[in-house]
Amino acid sequence: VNDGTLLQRSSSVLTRSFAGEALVTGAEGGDVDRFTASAAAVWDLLEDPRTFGDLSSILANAYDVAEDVVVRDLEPFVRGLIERSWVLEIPDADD
Amino acid sequence: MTESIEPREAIARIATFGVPGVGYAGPFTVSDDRWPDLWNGLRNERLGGLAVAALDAGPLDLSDEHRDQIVQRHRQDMVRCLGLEQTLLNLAEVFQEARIEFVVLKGPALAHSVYPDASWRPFIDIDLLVRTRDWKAACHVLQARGCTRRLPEPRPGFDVRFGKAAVHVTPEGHEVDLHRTLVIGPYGLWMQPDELFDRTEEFELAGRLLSRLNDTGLLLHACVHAALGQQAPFGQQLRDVRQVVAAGSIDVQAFEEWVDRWRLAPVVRRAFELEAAETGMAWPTWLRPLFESRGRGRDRRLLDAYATERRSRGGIALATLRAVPGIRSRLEYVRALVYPRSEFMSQRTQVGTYGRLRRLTVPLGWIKRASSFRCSRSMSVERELR
Repeated sequence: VNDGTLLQRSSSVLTRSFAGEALVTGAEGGDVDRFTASAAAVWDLLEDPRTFGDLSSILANAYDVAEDVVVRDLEPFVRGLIERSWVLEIPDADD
Repeated sequence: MTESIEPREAIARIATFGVPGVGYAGPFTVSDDRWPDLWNGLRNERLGGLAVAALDAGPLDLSDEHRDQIVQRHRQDMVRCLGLEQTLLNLAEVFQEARIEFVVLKGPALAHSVYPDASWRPFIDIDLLVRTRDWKAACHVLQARGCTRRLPEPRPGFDVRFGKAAVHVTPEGHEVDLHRTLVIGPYGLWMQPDELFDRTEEFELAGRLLSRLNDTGLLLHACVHAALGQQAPFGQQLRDVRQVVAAGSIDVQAFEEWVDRWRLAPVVRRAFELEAAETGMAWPTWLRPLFESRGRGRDRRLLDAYATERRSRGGIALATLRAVPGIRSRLEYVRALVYPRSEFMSQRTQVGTYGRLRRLTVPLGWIKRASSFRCSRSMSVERELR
């Protein structure tokens, strides 16, 4: 995952967002994960395609934190979502 | 400034939260001593999703403690909904493999099509409509998938002739209500539910397209469910009616045609009257013709069988008996009520011979009460004539 990686939520997950939190689970079964605070914000932001760089920049502004700090925390979270196929890396149209 | 209002008023405002065109004068709350009434009201009316949405957006202003209580409860509801949706997707595959066409009714179909956010519309089970000709096959498919039917068929052939639906429970503990028509009793018999399959649309769930009633069918079902689903409707059922009208694309001609042909005018009118009484909101002009006629006494008596204490005294069964066409079919209906199969009895009563004897007294009691009701009515008519 780098700044230019284009990311979006997979359409094949089941989810609900409310009261600043998001509940997410796979369509085939499994437990429901609960995202709160910034994790829920990331999940909501990824409803539309965004680059990792955009995502970290938005969060850094929203939470008033240095962007490199955001990247340090965000990267493993996003990687985990990709590994579970809940978030997809979208090939860049220019590639 | 936050206005402190009565719980009943707060529930009415929450019930209309987010309806297009409905505004709010300002934030509202209830006093701490009235909080239990609001809490219980929201649960009883199944309006937790709308309450959380109203908390998020601002109109509903509660203490952190009360807010947490509502959100925590809603989280449990949403976890259940997600589990039910997993079950729905799994069943969709199973039905597709068996080549059984089905339509998703109510909960997920409404939540993902006419509500602006699925979290506004919690649900507690999955309702699937299948064609009557596919009923048995659909039951077998569910059983093969490990589902248990909660109550067996009273007598062979009862379901497809007189029944509305059968509740099945999945191994995960989720309830699946398999329907062959939309409502129990005479109105269910007068409908031609297979026609609903000609007017369906799709909604997306986890990237998969599932069939639902089109908006006109959703409105019809929402009205039927609100007016006849139980003695008094939940706030959520009334909101469904309002939501489909506000957000759906209704084919007025098709709606009127169904209402007329399936004798549903009193039902639809009742649903609209109940909703308007609850919210004080006006109805679109195209619905007004339904309010013009007050309905015949026979219609009102039939509605009473669903919507008064007669419901729990065999009102629907007696009304069904009158609606079943043909003496032979009526006898079969009575036989199923009076002398159901032993599997049905053991599930229903969990006792032996006493249960069967008691079963016999139940419909006899209904008939006795119905006779005495008719008798007392004719006596009062006589008195009036004198």
